[in-house]
Amino acid sequence: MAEDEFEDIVDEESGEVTGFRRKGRKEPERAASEISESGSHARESSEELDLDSREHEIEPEESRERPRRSPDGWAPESHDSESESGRLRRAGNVVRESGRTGAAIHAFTQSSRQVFANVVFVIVTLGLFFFSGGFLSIWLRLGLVGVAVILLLFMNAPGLRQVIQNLWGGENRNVLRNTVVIFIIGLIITLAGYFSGMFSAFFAFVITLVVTIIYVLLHLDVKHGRINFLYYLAPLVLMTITAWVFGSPWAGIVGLLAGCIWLGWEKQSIGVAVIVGIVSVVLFLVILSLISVEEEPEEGKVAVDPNSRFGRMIALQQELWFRFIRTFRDVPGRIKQFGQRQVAIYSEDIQIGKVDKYAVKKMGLFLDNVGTDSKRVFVPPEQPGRFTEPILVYGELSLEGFEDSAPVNVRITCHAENLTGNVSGLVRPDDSFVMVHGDPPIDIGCVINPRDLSDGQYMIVIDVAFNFKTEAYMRGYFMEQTRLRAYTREKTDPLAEFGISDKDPKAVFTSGPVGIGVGLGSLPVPVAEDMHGPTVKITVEDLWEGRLGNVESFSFKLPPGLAVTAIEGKNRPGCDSACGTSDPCICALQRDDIDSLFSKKQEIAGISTLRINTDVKDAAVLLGNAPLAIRNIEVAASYTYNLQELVPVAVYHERVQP
Amino acid sequence: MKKYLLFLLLVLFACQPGLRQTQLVDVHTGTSGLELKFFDTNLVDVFESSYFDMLIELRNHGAANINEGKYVWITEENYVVAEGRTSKGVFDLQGRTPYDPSGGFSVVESRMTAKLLPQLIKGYDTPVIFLACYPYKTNATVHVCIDTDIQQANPRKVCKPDTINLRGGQGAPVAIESVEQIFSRDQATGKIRPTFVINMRNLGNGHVVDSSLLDVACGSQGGLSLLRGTSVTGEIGSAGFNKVSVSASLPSGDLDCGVNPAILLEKGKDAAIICRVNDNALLDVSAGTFTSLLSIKINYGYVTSKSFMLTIKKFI
Repeated sequence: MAEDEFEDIVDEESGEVTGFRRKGRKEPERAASEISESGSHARESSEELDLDSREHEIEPEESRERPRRSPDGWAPESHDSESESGRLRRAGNVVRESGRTGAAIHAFTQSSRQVFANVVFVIVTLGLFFFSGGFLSIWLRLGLVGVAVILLLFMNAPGLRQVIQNLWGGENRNVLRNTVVIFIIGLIITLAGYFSGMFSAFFAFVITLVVTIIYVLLHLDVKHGRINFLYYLAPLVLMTITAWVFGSPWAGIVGLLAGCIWLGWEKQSIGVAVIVGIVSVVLFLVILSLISVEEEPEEGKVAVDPNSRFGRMIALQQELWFRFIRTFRDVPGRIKQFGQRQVAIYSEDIQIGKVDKYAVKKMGLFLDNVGTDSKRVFVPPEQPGRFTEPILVYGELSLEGFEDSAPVNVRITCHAENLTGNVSGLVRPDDSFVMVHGDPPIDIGCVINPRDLSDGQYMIVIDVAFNFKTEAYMRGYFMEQTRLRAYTREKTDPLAEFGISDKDPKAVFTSGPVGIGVGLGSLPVPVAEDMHGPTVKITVEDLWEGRLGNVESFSFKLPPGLAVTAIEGKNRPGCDSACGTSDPCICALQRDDIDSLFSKKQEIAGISTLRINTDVKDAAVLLGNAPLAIRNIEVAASYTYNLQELVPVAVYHERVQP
Repeated sequence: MKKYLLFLLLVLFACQPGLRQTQLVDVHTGTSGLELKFFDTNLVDVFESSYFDMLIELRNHGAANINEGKYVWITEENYVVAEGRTSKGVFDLQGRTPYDPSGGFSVVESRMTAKLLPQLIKGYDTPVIFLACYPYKTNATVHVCIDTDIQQANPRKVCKPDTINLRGGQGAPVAIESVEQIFSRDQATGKIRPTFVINMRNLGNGHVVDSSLLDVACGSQGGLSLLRGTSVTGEIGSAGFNKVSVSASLPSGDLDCGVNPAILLEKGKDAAIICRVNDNALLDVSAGTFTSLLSIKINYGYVTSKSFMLTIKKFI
């Protein structure tokens, strides 16, 4: 440690330097004065006082964290008592004996030793907790953790008696009194709700607990009692309470963040807040997963009656968090895909189109109003003649199609899945049918026999596959090559000279689950007889939350005068004989080519792009009779698209009571 | 009462300070040439598979006449097609005169067809461009100070040969910005040679092209001519774009503006040409200091365009 990290301690009476301390940290004597202030006991026993001051003269536990805050800010408090002066001299002597460097090393060792002891203790405790599942019951393990927490408090506190004294001393006494008052008021409100039935007593009780705990956490002066371990529990406590009260993982996350922000503010450390936040989430999920609300709980888990209020709360939380985690399971993949997409757009590897803005409706097949009446299914024991209610998940299919467009073939499958496997369901009224534009919405249902499912949480997955078509239109500007060179040499923007503001036109595609982009490179495209034409890039992108299935057919039309030479570097049959003449060049890809061109390995960020090389066969036809030719490229793709909806269901098998 | 009121009004409005004199407008100001404006009635949506007329107003806001200007309609032919005989044409327009300060006016009409939109598309925005290429010229007459007293022997001259600023244009898109006057002694004869540096700039909205390349500018072919300007000078590497030809004269005769009086006028930048008195019109030192009129003419072709997005909608 550098010496400039220390500053001299000057005796206020004599003015002589009596020792030194680390900059920005509390003087040794202040810790002793705190102890002396904390109760008369310390004043009565000078030996104990001396012992305590020695204990703190190097690096008292509290002073290692930050300077003590004065009532009106962060400025250190003043000390003027004579006894403090004496202690200061004693402390200075002790430090001077070992020298500055030695004191620094000693302080560092002391601090590190304590931190190391805490870390080892926590690791050992958690290790014992997780690895003793085979031979100790969960209650015993939780009890061990409780004992460990108390021991941890003792390790970090000078003495339990002193902790208690500090808790009851000074302002804390008022805080605790107020806490009791708040809790009693809340309890009265709760009882009022219970007896009057005007509002939920349960909700009132939870609110009472929340308010009480928040009040304690915010006001209790735990610093003096050195039980600031409680601080670290704040994010977890707030997360648990908010998640439970509001019944939403998002609320839990907000509670967690609030706790972390508060902790970070109190500790003046973002790192501590982040670490505690992560640990809190992990602990929360571990604790949640250790509770079983099933009739036959798994070994090593805390069993809770699923029919009790607490059991239902736990089940709800488990379900919510299961869905929440499932939602976020794909987040890393999505982030990666987003990044790849942006890079690909920047490097023009993929082309972005825009949907037909004149389409007033979003086109496609929609699965809406998906739900179930049996989120929690209790399966009675199997007895002859006793009917078992099936799990029914329903939804509504509606088609927004184009007039005169082809009929849409719909295929539906459904299954129940959990982490261990899938069980197929039966689709009602039919698992495949045809819809046309103008058809009314169709109600569908997925029926699953709960006897095929064991106890636990399931996701009922409804998959709907349908065929659809997307067309795209791209405007391109073409100009004679030498004319374009003349513009370029004169540093003149040719498109601006023609009053064109849309200098980078995007392909317009019809509304639907898939978007198509087309790129022609830099515009205007230079044209000359018998030269290479533009490389046309066509991108097919999945726009909806579902999944693009097979591409059934794919065709494109180039302006007259252009001919296709290769698609993705290969000569592929499919273009008609009109290519290169005064008629447009229409190409329809063959089945094999479609399969290879739209395979997964061709995708960038889940997006397929084709590169079509062209040649100019007839420049006069392509250019027409104006200095700037505006020509079109058209693309059409027919494909199968898959929609998916999930509904969580919990299954409980009732047991026959012996 | 009414009588008094009428009398008062008669007194007030009858006593005007003489007849208003007609003031002639100076048409040789401004930087406009041909101005294009679509008729508002065109700026509405059209339906697929229908005819419609495109009307555009052509007004010559400059001081020069336009003879045999050319125009062409440019459309996205997959969706909008101008009827053959109306897709291109020729026009003439008188320039502004003191007696017709608003300039020549004409309306060009084109019958167009909005084609059938693709089956699945509901509407489509497509550009319609009107391109006009026309010959134009800039004329300016400048009072210059001819000063043969290059030794400054006479302290009481009638004028000084300072740089003449001509801001505001001369009623054409290519404007003469300033004229610098330089007087030097010819070494062979000992006489004084007046020399003028003429600075000019394209201040219009379009671009300048060699006046002989107007067909090329409004046509699809002949880009090589624009690139090399071969039809004017035959000189390889001299562009047809931004090229103007300049001539200047004093009452005593034409000035020599170089072997090739065509210069490149890069858009947004000044270009200068040096014109000087021919050898046979040099001035004696004894000619003294006097004012004269310098006449400058710049010939060029000018290309201007106007566009707007036409929306074609599907019949539902």
